[in-house]
Amino acid sequence: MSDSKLSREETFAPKLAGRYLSFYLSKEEYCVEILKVQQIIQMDELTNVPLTPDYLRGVINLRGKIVPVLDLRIKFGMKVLEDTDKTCIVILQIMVNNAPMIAGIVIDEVREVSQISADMIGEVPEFGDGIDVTFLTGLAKINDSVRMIIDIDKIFSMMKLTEICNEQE
Amino acid sequence: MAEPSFSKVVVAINECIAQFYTADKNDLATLGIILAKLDEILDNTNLPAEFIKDLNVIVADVENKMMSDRAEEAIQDSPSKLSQLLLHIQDAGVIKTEYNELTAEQKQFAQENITIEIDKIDEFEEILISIEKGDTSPNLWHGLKGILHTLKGDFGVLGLSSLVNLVHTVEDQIIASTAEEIPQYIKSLFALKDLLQIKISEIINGSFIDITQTELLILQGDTQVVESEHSLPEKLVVEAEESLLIEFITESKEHLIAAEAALIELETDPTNSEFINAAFRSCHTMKGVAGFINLKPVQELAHALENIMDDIREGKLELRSDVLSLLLSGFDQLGILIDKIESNLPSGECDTPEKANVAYRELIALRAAQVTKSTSITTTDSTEGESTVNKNPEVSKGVKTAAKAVQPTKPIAPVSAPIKKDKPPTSQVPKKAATHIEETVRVSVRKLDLLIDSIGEVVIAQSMLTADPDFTKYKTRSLEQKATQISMVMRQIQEEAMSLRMVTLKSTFQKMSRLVRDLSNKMNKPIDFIISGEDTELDKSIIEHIGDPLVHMLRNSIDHGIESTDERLANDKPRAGTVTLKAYHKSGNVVIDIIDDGAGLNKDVLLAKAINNGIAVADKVYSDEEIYNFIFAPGFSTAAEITDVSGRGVGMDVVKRNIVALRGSLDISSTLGKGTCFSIKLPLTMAIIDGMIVSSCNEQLILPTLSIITTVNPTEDQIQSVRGKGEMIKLHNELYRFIRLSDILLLDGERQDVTKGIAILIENINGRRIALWVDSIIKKQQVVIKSLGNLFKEYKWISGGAVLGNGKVNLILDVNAMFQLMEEKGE
Repeated sequence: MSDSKLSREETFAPKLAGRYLSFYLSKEEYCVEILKVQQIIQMDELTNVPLTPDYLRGVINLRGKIVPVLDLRIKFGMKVLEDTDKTCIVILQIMVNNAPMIAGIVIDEVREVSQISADMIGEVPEFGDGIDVTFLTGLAKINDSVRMIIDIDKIFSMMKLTEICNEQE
Repeated sequence: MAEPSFSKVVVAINECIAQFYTADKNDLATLGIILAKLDEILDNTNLPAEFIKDLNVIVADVENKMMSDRAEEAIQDSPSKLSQLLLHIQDAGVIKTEYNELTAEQKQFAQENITIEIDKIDEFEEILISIEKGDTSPNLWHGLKGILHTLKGDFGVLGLSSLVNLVHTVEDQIIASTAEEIPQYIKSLFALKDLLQIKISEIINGSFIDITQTELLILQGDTQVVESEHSLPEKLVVEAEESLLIEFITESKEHLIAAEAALIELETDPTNSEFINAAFRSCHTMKGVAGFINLKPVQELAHALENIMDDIREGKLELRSDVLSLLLSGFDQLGILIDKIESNLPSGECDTPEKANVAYRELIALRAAQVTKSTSITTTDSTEGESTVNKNPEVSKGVKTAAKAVQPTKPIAPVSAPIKKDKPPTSQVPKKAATHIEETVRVSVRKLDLLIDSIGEVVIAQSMLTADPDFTKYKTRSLEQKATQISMVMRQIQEEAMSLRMVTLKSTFQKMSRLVRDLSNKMNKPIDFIISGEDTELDKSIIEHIGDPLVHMLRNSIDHGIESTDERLANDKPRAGTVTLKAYHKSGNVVIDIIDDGAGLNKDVLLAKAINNGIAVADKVYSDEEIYNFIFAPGFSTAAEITDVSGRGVGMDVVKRNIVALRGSLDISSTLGKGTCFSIKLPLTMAIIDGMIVSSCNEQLILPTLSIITTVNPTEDQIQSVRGKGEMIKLHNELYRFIRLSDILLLDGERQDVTKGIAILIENINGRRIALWVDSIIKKQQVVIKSLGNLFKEYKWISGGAVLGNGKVNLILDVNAMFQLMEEKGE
């Protein structure tokens, strides 16, 4: 490891330390800051919104508020497994362009809520193959598993639905 | 630390003082009782020695005077001596001097017990009003001293020593004078009352801050501070925290509206003292509060206005039209100042606009001219027949009572602090069909919306309960009755919740009065302006957006509709044009009519102009309605028509678009030579629409019924395929484009035969019609529109989502955007 890389890891890992919700997306493990998680609900009846990208699964009624639900598996280009009774929706509070927003993501299974300390966090290596890693802020090594830490704010900020919509035509 | 025993002492001494005030010099028995009380205090207390000594001296003095037949002297002297003593006791650190040094329990004690002072302030105010009216009886005078004293004592008990000092300062000034001299102090006393009210409400809502030296000085030198310059301070520097400022701004806006309304009333009823007093009161309150947060320009401008109004109500100045205009413009400038402060929050600092200065100087000049009895001020009103703005009392009353019958729910009008009585200005303007004054509470719109959301959820939960198969299976008669009962109550709650957001059109209409008056002056057209139905309620969000369209249409009526006086006279019409602004309920909607008795719309001229502008085609036959609607086509107003007032590119098309955005509609009817009527139809609330739930490829969507002309189950022969244009359907001898909803929205599903579904004829804002084909119509239902959030804002063809009784979200389609979508897809 070069000197510069060492110092980068020293500064960036502590910032990411904290409590995370870990979950499965198509057998891969991801985690998101627990502070952003509002609640976890069942896969209820989603209302599909026509003319939207596949990864926008639809909208759902959450205590009187209409909340959009995304499927990150589709967005990340993963193989989408069949819904099981463990499949659920994580409702998150996200900051998009400095404005708060409530949205949900579909996950295959909740793994756990755990404390991830700085020494468990490492940088995201280059995967090559043009796989987009801009949405990952780090890798967490807990026991034997490697979990990818998602920057949920960035995912939503960078989504431009109409662009995609036009692509479809 | 305020120890309980000291509080008792303070209370006891206060009682003695109060008794002294009301004691009769011949009633030695009462005097004896007072003395006995004082003795008791001396015996039972652990006051510091020096105070005991002082109290002893006072008691001895009273006894002596009683015995040497100088009881009257004793009665005169003792109260002030006892007051002084009390202050010393309080000053001696018995009660902490600064509010923020009090303990939490003490603050709580103050907060819980301050409300009883509210009644005393009311009493205080009543006394002041009587004195102001000219009552100089000694009883009133004693009452005044007594109430001040009681207030002071109570504040002391509650640990609010800065208030104690405040009252004491004023009390000192007064005690030294006689009953006849009191009216001089009336201004300070009112200012004191106002400040105390503000402070009490601060304590109640937990935002109390001690009174500053500056405020004390201003209170004492009220008139001096303000009249020192003949120019407003250049910069408006604010020394108050943001929440105080915000409250000031909100209240000031209300005061300004009230003042303006009162002044407009005065124009037609110049001798009505209630109106001038109301305007004065509004101004005075604003000045007071502005003073306490040290907003000098506001304070001084308000003071200048106040002086003029004072002169008017004392008969020293005649309320001529130019004086009224000056007052109105002064209030306008105040409004502008307030707006400036608001836009510069949180600091609120800004530069004083030059116009404000101009108005200020004009007011001062007017007053000075009056003093030197000059009569050279020319009127701005050049027409002989004065333009009048009045309400038709009969019509108002009739419609008002009718409006009252239709609205069982109470309107919410904001009040300043959570004090029981309204502040004087707004509550003392008498209304023609007098409605009783209702208590109101200010509630944030955000809380209302949360409440309405929650109620919506309960309604859904309840309907899900009754729709549950288990419920249907096991329900007994009694269970069903109970379920029905709940459902009825739920519906009622929902209606009541929605009505919380309803606000009357009153202030919107009042603003129009002013506009019409100004326009009529500007254009030299005398106008008889009639308002009715201002008590009609609309959802708050609609009220906020209806003002602009109304302004436009009124301008249009007065500019283009009403003819010049010459023309009118030549046509046997009354000299003054009549413009009516009317609001009423009709079949579940609110209708606002703008009627003028002007020249009416000339169809031929309109058609010619439309053809000229490419909006219409020559040689085609158009219905009257279609011709009138050309007015709303963009670009209709040509350069030749642009006057100073209207037609400046912000045409009627914008008006129509704004109204459609409120989910309303706009109709025109007119008779050439007689007049025109613009009729705006608005839904009672923007949040609810009448929707048609349809199904297409197993997806449920909602179409607003407002856009639906008709529905039909098509037969084979009605559908025709036109080369190059796709499918068409023949309905009522007209051909319309025929499109399947599933094709537009790219829904997956089996393609049914057209005869198995329904064709819905929909119309967009421009009147274009298309037949939309769906698999089936589920039902018609009123639904609450909820926003889908920012993520979907680019999807213009969805206007929102509705949560149905089964908890599922259904998308609501925006018809106008759908038309655009269809065009883009080249269909």
